[in-house]
Amino acid sequence: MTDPLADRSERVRRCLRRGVDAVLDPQPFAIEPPFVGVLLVLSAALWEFYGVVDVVGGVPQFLVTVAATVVVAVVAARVIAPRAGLWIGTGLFAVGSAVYLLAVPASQRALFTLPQLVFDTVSLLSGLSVLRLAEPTSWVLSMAPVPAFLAVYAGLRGRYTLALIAPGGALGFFVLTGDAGTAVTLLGTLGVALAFGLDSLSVPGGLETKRGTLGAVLLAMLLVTSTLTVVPGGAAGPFVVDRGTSGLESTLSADEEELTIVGSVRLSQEVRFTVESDEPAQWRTGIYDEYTGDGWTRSGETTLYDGELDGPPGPTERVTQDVTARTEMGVFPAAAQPVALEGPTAQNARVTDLGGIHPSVTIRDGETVRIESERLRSEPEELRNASTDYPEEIEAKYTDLPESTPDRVGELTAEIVDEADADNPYDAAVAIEQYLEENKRYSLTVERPSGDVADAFLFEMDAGYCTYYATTMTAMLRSQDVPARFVTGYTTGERIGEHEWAVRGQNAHAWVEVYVPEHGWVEFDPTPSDPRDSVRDARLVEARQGGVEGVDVEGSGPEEWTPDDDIDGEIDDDIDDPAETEPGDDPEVDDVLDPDADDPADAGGVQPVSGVDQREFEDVGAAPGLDEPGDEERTLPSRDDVGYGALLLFGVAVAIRHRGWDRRAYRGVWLRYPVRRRDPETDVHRAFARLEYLLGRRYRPRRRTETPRTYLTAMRLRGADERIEEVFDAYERARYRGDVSRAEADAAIETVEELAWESTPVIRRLRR
Amino acid sequence: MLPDRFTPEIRPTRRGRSVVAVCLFAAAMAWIAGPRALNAVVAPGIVGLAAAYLQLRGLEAPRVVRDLPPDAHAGTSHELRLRFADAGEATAGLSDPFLARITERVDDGLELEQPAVEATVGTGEVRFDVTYRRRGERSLGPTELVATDVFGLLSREFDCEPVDSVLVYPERHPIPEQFRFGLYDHEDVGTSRQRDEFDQLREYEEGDSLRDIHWPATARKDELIVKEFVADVQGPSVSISVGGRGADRNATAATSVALALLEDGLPVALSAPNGRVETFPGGDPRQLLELLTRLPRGEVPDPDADVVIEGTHRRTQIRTDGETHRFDQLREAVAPGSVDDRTEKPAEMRTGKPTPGAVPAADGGEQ
Repeated sequence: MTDPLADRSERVRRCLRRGVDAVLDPQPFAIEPPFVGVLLVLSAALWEFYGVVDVVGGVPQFLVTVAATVVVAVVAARVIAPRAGLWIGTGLFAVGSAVYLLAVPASQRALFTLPQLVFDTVSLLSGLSVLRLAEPTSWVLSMAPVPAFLAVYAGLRGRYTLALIAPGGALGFFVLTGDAGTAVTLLGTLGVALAFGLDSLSVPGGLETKRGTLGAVLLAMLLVTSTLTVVPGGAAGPFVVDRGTSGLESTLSADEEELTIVGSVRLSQEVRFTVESDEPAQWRTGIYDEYTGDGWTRSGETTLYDGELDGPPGPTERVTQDVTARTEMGVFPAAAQPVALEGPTAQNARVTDLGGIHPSVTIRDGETVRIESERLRSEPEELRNASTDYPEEIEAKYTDLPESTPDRVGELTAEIVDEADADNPYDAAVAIEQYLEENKRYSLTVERPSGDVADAFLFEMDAGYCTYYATTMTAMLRSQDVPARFVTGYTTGERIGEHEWAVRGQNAHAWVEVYVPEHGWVEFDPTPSDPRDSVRDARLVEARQGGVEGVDVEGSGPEEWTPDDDIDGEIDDDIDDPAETEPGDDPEVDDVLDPDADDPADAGGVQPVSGVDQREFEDVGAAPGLDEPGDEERTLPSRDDVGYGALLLFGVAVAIRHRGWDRRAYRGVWLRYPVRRRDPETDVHRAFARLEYLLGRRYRPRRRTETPRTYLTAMRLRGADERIEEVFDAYERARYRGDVSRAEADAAIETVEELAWESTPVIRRLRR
Repeated sequence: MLPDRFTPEIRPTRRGRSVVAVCLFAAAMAWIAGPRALNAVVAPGIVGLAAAYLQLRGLEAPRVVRDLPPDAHAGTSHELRLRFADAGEATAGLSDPFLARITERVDDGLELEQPAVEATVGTGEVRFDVTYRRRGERSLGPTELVATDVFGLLSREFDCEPVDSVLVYPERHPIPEQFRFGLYDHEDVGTSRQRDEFDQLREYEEGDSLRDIHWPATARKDELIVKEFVADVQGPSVSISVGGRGADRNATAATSVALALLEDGLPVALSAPNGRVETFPGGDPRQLLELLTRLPRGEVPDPDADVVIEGTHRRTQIRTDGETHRFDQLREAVAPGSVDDRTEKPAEMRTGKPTPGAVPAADGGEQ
């Protein structure tokens, strides 16, 4: 009885021991040079992860997670065998995926079918930002440890292939989703190259002989990447927005969810759509909730439009709008808050989490959609007295700022609010709106700031356009914990009938909505309107004179619909924006937005699928030489240009030094242009030194064992000019007798000079 | 198809193929779904590959300069050092050193502890540990180089001449004292073994040492004349004759016995199917060892010698004065502790582990 039992326990023990042997493999700590490259790649990947949490929140958790992972990986590298380490890495990935799935709300998890997952993956890899993922913070916290662990563990174990694949793959993913910029990507690529190089050079004598080559190639990579574009510049964007043709849908997105803030922009004068409406309004097309520091994204999923939506909770008024597209269009422009749709495109319309409605097919030219909106009619007094008891999900969604936002934004905002004696969010918003209108100048020609846009606009820039104003105001409100969001759309447009307006590309605009409990979203517009009008008018006149097509529709023209002058004021009073602080303001403001102008291919593209039609703007950088107002800001080379120029110079200098060209050039001058003369002896010595160098270049250098005499004889035998004898005679006399005369010294100098010139390829012929 | 300058022998390594794959994928993604930051992946990749090609294109096969290990017994280990020189240059060292994986190709009778080494070719030495396994003339080379660029993306193969050779003498084992003492009266041993007493000149016979040739006389007579010393003719010389099947075993036995006797101070006259040689204590045993290194299968030339070493298809026997010993038993008789310290001991005698080279190798004797 005891035998089989003992046998089994013995077998179990042996099995355990084998398991422990397979897992444990203590090894002393060793950091080898290629690990530097691994760390570079890892830094680039982690930087991108950080970029996500910086926007969506969770920086402290992220830092703690990464630090803990690195510590664990360092310990693991000392004791755990490579195979087990790989399994741990894979396990981390599996656990991370599971944790992420659990973190995603159940309603969304139900959508995780296989085709859906495949499609979402394709969408991400074709350029959809990871910020569009549900619960991006959870995603980062569950995924970042995988590359961190594998890179540190495998790097310390000397398994550089694995150590590079893990963070390199993560970085590659961010490149494909379009989240990684060129600089960070290049850092990662150079990290891989450095690790490869140092790995190859780790053989005996490798580093001593080949480090110059390695450095030169790395530098070449840097320079070529900064100056040349070798990849095909396809005009395509993420597959997911290409709904017009594919009809595919995703839980991730059904619209243009990102808006990147760019520099200078141009206006388009083409009419986009006309609206027949009871009342004029700003036609909203897009709502954004997540501020990334350099742009906006929309989070959450979309659902199919299925009957009338809820309007704002406050007192409202119904407005019916018939929007007729005058070009292909991918949006439903309507006054806030659209609640009902009619028309063929209404069928597959989708509703975002934020309350926007978007078509899922392109609206064709001439097609009309009827949109019903409920407009908020609350009085300023009511809004002032409203509670500040925000619903939790509103507060969570709309008060987030990137954690890298400088504190001074909040400090300045608090100051402004204090100065205005605003004791409620509504007054605070009015104060901020006023501050921006008064302190910033309107200009379409700005250089895109490098850091946080709101911070830069507040403290570094003195001019900007609507995107800058609205972004900054939203960020300022959020810094005071007032829920606010960034919305895009069009201003009212040109009035072409009693109840009809023509809206052009140049009417594109961005403004702000502030949440007031029990009322809803209240519109604010911090952009000063007068300068916009003048820019717009000038452009429109130019366009008409230039005969640009599509500028006018029936009813529009140089003479606006009468009674023109009164209407402007009327419109303003009518506009459903209780916060409008400038009664004389023309709501028909013109502005431009750039939904995604980072991609020059998008600018001027023909896909009318974005939140704002992409033809509304053209990046000035992409179309130089076209009419641009205020060109002076572009005359100085940008910081990037200066940086690349400096790099290029440095590269050339390194190359020259590497090939020894600097020394040769110096020698060339030294040989042909003798310095000023001194006493005859010194001159003769110098002349002889030159002669020796010349002969060394032409035949061979003097050997150490050779006397000058034997050397010269050997050179004569090899065919050197007989004049070298004269120089040598003078040298011998100067050296051993010390009585060389001025004339002899001059003769020697001249002879050497002649010989030098005669050995110069082209000059030789000229002097003959 | 391609012009010569494209040097088609340059091939991508596994790493290089991965880089090409990543670049193609990135370019395809850029073409399909927009460029994004993919240029920062593709451009450095192309630069790396182009730089790799340029680094390898201009290379030429260097000449290998071997610092050869000495001729020695099978079972011993030595260091082999390689240096490289530009083809046609006398001095070692390359004008353009490069990284390479260096593989030294050696004969079956030699074994390299690590046949391939990664190093910089053209700056320093590359060392290999070589173990002599089987007797014979053993060749080293040609050396194979797989040159790579600094990133290890592309590679190019070279074969470096020339081929060198070393002699591996038969293995040597200690011989027990009682066996040796049975062969001679050991009081006679150790006296008058000097080569300073000149006796006479005579014609060269096969097996005579080259250093015994008397050159002045040779020059006069048009034939080789050798010197003979007093020691050569005096004193008891032990004659050993070796032959039979199992030449490897026989060679080992003859080497062990002959060297043991020489160290005891006895002249040895060895006859074998491939020649005969006489060696004196204190003299150079190289001739004797060369003879045994090349020992073939064949009849014992002198069955009446003092010691007859004859191999059968199973074993090698040593016959002296009617006594017959088996060589393998003789080896076992030497207990590890009692081994004569002066004798050179093969590694396996100390560790007790047999090595493959110690097993009689096939020369037909086993069939």
